[in-house]
Amino acid sequence: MKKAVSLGLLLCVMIAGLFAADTAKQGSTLETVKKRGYLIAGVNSSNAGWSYLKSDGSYEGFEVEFARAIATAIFNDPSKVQYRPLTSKERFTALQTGEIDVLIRTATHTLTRDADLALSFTTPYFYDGQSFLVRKDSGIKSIEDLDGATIAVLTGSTGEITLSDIMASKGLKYKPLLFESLDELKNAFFSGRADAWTSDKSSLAATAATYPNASDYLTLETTVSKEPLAMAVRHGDDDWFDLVQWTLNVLFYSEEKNITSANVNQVRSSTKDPDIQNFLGAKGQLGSMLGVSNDWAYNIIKKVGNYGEIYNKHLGPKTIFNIPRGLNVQWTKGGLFYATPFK
Amino acid sequence: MKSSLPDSRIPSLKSMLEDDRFRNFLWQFIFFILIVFLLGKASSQVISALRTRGMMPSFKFLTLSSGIVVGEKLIEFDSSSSNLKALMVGLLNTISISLLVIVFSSIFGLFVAICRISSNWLVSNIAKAYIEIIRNIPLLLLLLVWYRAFFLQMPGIKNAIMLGKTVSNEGVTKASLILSNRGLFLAWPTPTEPFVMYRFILLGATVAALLVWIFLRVRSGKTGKKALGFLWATLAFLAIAAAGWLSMGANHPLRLDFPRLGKFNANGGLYISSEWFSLFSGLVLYTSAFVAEAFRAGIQGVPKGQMEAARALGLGHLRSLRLIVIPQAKIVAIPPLTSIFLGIAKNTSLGVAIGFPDLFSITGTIINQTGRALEMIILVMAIYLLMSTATSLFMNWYNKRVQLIEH
Repeated sequence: MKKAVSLGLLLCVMIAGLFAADTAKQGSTLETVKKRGYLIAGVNSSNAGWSYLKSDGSYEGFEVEFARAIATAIFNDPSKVQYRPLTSKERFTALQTGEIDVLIRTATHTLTRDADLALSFTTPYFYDGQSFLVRKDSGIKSIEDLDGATIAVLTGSTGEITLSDIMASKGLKYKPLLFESLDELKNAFFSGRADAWTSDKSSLAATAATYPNASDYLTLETTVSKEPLAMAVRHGDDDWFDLVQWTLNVLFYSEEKNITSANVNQVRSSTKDPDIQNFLGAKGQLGSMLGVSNDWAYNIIKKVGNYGEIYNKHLGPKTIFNIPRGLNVQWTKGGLFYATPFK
Repeated sequence: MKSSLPDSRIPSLKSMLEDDRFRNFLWQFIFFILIVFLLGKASSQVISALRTRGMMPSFKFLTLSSGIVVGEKLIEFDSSSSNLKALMVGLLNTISISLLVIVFSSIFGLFVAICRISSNWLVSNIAKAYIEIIRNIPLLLLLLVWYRAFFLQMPGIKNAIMLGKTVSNEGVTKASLILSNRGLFLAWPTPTEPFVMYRFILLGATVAALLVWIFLRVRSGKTGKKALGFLWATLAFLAIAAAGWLSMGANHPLRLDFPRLGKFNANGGLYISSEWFSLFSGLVLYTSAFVAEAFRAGIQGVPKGQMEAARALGLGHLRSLRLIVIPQAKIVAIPPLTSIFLGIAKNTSLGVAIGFPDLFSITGTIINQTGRALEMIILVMAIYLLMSTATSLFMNWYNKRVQLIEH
């Protein structure tokens, strides 16, 4: 099955190759998206809380909201997105070949992916780090306790290489158990086939929470890697990159200024701050510089919400996941999010 | 052709077009040029498209350190080994499991085929039910069910099923067999220091056995007496091997290595992982159904009179099958068997679904680490093609050999 998928990808590359001259003439991604009438976003289909396929066929989750925000910036309609479920292995090829416009799928920004795969990453929308999920009764408290253990890991993730690096640096032996699908991995791990499962802390928390005996498991305190998750687009279309990056900045900046979907109308009509007036499109030409309408930021906040709202809706304290925000707060509160000025 | 040929010898274009052979050649030539042109056009398009996307193919990454750790390997490999070596590890895993599946499904398939054509109603219908059910289940589903519902449901390593369990004074638990959802650990002979010497004795024993076998064959060819060549050769081998073992006294060249329970896993002995065994047994189960049908076609292709004649000569049912029917059935069964065997190496790639590190799984890992999807897929397609070609060449050779004996 997987072979068929990969062969399919190869065929796509070849077909894309045959029509390359045409797509090059078609011009910018933004124009293509506008002409097509909807955005195509590459996402995960089975990462609870983050991005998952619901039983009615629609997609929901934290990452899905970013795609909705981009669609709102362009079309003023968050539903104008077609989601493409991708495995870790397929995701970059799908982006390179032009099958998708933007990749929002827990992709860690690294130098290799930036330079060698010819992708452009936005600033991170989530600062994550890799850790291990283990059974509480296994007595494992730190990485050193994992010497000789069988560790399940998803193939195609940065976690796979971080795992071998960290274990080698500490001189620990282990047996990797590689799975391509998260479902098979969960099955094997929760049945006790593996002693630990390593992935980004956020994903571990999200998956463990959906498991009936969640309290039997714990995530190790240690974080063994930096995983800045960011959206990615192809090299060579800076206008499109700008739009995606500034859409993310809208989500950050509105949280920083406490503008929410509930109060955005009131703020726009009452604010005296010229920066906010510019930002919300009450005056100025910020939107048209990006090739979208001037009230794009207003539309995003109104229809999708600010970063904090999105976070709380999918990962916050009222959800089963309850992932602490940690570094993922605005700089004004000591976090790492810092939206550059809307001027 | 010499230029001094008289003009009349050079055929006119019209007469050439009327020549069948020339016309055929012309059409094939035009078609060939067209194909070459299309392929050339397509590949130059692909290359220029890849260049504009910054995806120019390059195979330099193969020699770089892979950073991969593989759970099951037949050769020395660690994360500092190259990507090429990682590929080799996967290839060996694929080849070894394919060969074993071919051998075991041939044996089991033949057994099922014989049951299927048996005159015993129950036996024949059990075989029929097996074939019909297995043939109609997608292989991936079979493997997933087998892995999830059977192997993962075994007890965990802490409550493993153990045979011959002993606990040493230091609290180390040993057993001759440990079965858990991790897989099967078996006590297994491992070479010790004196084995270096013992190897030569084994080599000598093999040579002696071969000599005995050849001698008996030659003698039976001369006298027409029935020779039990294989039996005597085996006995000769065992006798020399045993004598060698005894002569070495207390320095046993092989030692039974018992699996010991560790903190997480058992260690030592022979280890067969759940993933390997799921893939192996799933494939054998699946392939045997097809092999059985190929053999049945072969057996039923042998005229009934052959069986009746054999029985009339006083041979029993099984001996008639073995000596008369199966040798003739083979000839019919080999071409379909070839296609089935070709499928096996490709089917092992489904191991990726249940966590077995076969060629395809490791390819995926390398693609992830290096981002070189196009190069790896080209490479892996070439490898599968080579493997299939080798299998089919061998089967064609075998087919020819069997056919020649008949005529």
